[in-house]
Amino acid sequence: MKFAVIRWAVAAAASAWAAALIVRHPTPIDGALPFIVVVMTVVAAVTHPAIQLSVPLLLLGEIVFPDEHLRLLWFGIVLAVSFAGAVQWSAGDATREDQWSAGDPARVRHEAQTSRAHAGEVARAPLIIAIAAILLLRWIPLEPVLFGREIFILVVAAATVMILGRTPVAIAVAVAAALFTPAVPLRTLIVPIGVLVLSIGARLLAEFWILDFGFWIEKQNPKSKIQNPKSVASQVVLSTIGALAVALPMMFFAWSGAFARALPVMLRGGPPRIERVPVRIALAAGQSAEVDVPREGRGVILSGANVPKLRRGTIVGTVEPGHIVVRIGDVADWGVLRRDHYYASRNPLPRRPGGILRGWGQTAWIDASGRIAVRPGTVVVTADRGLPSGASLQIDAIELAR
Amino acid sequence: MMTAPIVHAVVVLTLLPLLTLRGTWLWRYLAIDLATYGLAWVAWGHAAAIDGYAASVGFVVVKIALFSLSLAAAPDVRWSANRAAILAILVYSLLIPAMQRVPIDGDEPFYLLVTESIVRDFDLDLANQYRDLSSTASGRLDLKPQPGDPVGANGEQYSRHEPLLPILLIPGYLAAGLPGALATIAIFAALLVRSTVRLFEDEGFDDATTRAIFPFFAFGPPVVFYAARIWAEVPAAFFFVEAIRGVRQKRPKRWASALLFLSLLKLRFVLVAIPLVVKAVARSRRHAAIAIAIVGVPLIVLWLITGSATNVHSIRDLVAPTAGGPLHGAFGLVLDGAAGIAFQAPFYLLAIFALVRWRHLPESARLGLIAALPYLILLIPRSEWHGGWSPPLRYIVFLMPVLALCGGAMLCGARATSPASDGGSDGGRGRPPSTALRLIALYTVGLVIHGVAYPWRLFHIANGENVAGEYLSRLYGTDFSRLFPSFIRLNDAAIAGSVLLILAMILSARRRWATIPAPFAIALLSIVLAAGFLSGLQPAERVEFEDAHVTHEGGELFPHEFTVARFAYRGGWILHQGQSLSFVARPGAATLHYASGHPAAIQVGRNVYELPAAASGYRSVRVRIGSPERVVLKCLRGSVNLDRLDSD
Repeated sequence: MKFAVIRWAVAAAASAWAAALIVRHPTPIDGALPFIVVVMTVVAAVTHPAIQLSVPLLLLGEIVFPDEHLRLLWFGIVLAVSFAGAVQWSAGDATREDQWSAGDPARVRHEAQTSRAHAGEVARAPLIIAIAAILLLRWIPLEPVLFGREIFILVVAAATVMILGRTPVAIAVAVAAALFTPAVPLRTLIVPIGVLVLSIGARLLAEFWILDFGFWIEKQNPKSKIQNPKSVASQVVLSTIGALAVALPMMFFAWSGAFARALPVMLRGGPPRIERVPVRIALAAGQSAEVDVPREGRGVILSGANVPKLRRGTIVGTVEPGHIVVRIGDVADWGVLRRDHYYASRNPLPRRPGGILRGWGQTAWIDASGRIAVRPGTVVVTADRGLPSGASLQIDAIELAR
Repeated sequence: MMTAPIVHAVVVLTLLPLLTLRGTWLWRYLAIDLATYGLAWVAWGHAAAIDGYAASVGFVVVKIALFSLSLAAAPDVRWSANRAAILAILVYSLLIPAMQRVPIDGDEPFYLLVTESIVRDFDLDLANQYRDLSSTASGRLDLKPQPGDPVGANGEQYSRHEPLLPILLIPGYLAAGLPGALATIAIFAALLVRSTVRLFEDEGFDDATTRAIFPFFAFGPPVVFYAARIWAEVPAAFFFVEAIRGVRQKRPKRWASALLFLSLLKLRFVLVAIPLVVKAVARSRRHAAIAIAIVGVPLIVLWLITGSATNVHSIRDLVAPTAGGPLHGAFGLVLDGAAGIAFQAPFYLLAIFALVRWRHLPESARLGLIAALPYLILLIPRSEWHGGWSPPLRYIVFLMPVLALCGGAMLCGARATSPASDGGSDGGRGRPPSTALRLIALYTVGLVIHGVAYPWRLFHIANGENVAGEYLSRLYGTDFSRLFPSFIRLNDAAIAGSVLLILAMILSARRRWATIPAPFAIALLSIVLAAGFLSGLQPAERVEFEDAHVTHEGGELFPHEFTVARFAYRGGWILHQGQSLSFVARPGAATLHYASGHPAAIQVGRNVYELPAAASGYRSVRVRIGSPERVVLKCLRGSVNLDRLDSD
């Protein structure tokens, strides 16, 4: 067992060294490649050796994809598949089933020798998968990490996994709770704590046989023909849902902050990749500005400044011709999706987002500007007179047809 | 417009598990199937920077790989040779439209032209076909008779290709034109898969092992790249397997008909037929007449058509091997970056290692290899051992079922010797999914995605580079191609690779190779990857001016890309006055090799060099590379064919 640990540690160190040699691109995600391959090697060590194949795939991505978005998405896809595989394995229904060793005496002997260690690995695996996922989602880039809070989140996530029975769904719940916690301000830590409390409650209910995790089909319908607790529903459907729920955020780990705070936008393909002409005019309450929209123009991209407390439907300006009324919901405060400002905001996401994906990892965000469709020609944008003091309506850019 | 291919793919991907998997594994696969569709849907919106078609192909190939994994791992599978053939034909049906994204290439349009001549004119004279190319379904208007094509007494223009394949294509062509012709080949490919699975059964392989090898053979290169293309290779492989099975089972009708068809497909396969015939008739001289017919009929058919029993071939082809020597071909077929098994169909590397355990190979494998020996002995010294303008491994596609058998034997052997070779937490019933196999599977998936998404890249000019090397060279501006072994233009990597191959085979014979723990193997691979990458970024000792890492500002390739047997020339890049190229080279003294009919002048960096005329062949001139930065070489006067630059 100790030799196995040393073996994996050497492999992790060698892989990290190789990654450090290969890194060519300037983003913090690329810079963190050695860290990422170490994490993946650890996941492979506690789950299935095939997960380690993610290491050369990550390194290949660094070499062959010069386009930043494509490269980071490739990293995400590799991690998503690897974590999905690891979660499936942790559920005990992937490749370590006994049928592989049937008819092979040498392997049966080997399995018997290692079964005790193997059982330990299986027990540890969900915990380590969850911690690994959270590390990748929240600890890149390293500079803005608030260590005390992040360690607390890790501990709470580990507790959640333990309490929920180390199932794939438990991993997914713990990872999701961590992902959606801004951690700024401090009181947002109530999110993982709340999930932990709910988990404890659910576990207590389970202990009293009121609710049974994973095997709920059988309990809900005692006459069901599915009598085996390791039924198709529990083993396959739940483990797949758990794997999918972990894989999805991992696919966007390079922009995990944006994924957490602008989930609908990221699920719909991210911010639109549109051609734009920057304008950058801020209008205080009652001010107007004329903008010439060229023939290939399709709209103006507007956002608010210092309007995070305004609620949905609040009028922030108008666009002429056509007297288009611009409200919170069409646009939002420009920086509201930043980690430090997200919690305090009351703005919903713009209906037609026009922002740009900025930053990486947990600090990634999308500026919350919105697109207002207009015809080519002269457009007059007027900030509403009712805007609060210090607030403004910003004309960020003109949207062009691609 | 895009709906039909998507529906087609989804139907195929859904049918694959429904036809084979059962119980929990079916549910598991379907759940994962749905999850992958969900993930792909989300990822799709973020993938604007990539070729959507390639991404779609990648998705389908990965899903087929996932299915293959389930097929190999599931304990309870509905499995038979016929079912394997159905799986294969389903997947090949996806290839038919994929391979038509660009006009068919290589020998394909000529085979189709013969089919069209038979169907429309009831003859083999292609003269009128060449005159009116607008009517050919290949869409190739640039076709002209190939050099050496036979010409009849009355000016008839025949094809150099044997007519059996065009005849076999007739029903499919009449039914659906070019797609019908491709479907005919796909049917042959499915028959090949069926026969190969039967061959595995005949040799006593258990179903689990066969199912593990099946995707590598049926869905992996090279078979998958020939399964929907008009080449004789897949039908030949089918007849070859049937012949081996017939000989092994002592069924004269089977082996006689199979060998006759094999010989009629391509005259070169007579070399394979002869040893099998000898084996078949060795104890039963009653079949000698059949044997003579198998060799004689193709010769008579060709004599009747072209006036020569050997068609475009002559006895010199047998006794006068051209440049390169046997080592180039032998190691090239295994290791070459553009045309070798290691880079183009790595699963069959297992078969190469299995050769050192000859006595443990299945009887059919030994028979097949012995039968192919005369053919291989004549192939490997030839300068065109790599297959010329065709998808990779053309000349040995027919041998793949036998090599798959050897690979299967190797995997079974690996299980017996190394139960914990992969880390101890998984294993295999008959074949542990060892690290090597995982890497091979991963690489194979990449190869298939690339070949199906960009079918025109299956045809690669034999210039010593390969697609990967060219891509990286263009990306980073340094010579990455030199890292890939080339036996077409022999390089250091080829020599190092050959030495490593020999060492690995020796270790394999001593059964040491399988004991590297998985974590170390992957970590080692990562370090090799990093070392190769860093090495590739460094200036090369030799700069070949036609290569992809050289940035050309004007000028032209020498000789022209589609020159017949271009690999026989010293390639180069011709610069005329005012044109330039740039490259990264080692600072210091170097030797520039060039050819020029008249005196010329060039500037390398800041230095100007007068180049005397090199009327007879190539000359060299000493130059100095000033800095490690990118060097610009400009032609100041005249024209010069730049061959290469060798740093001291």
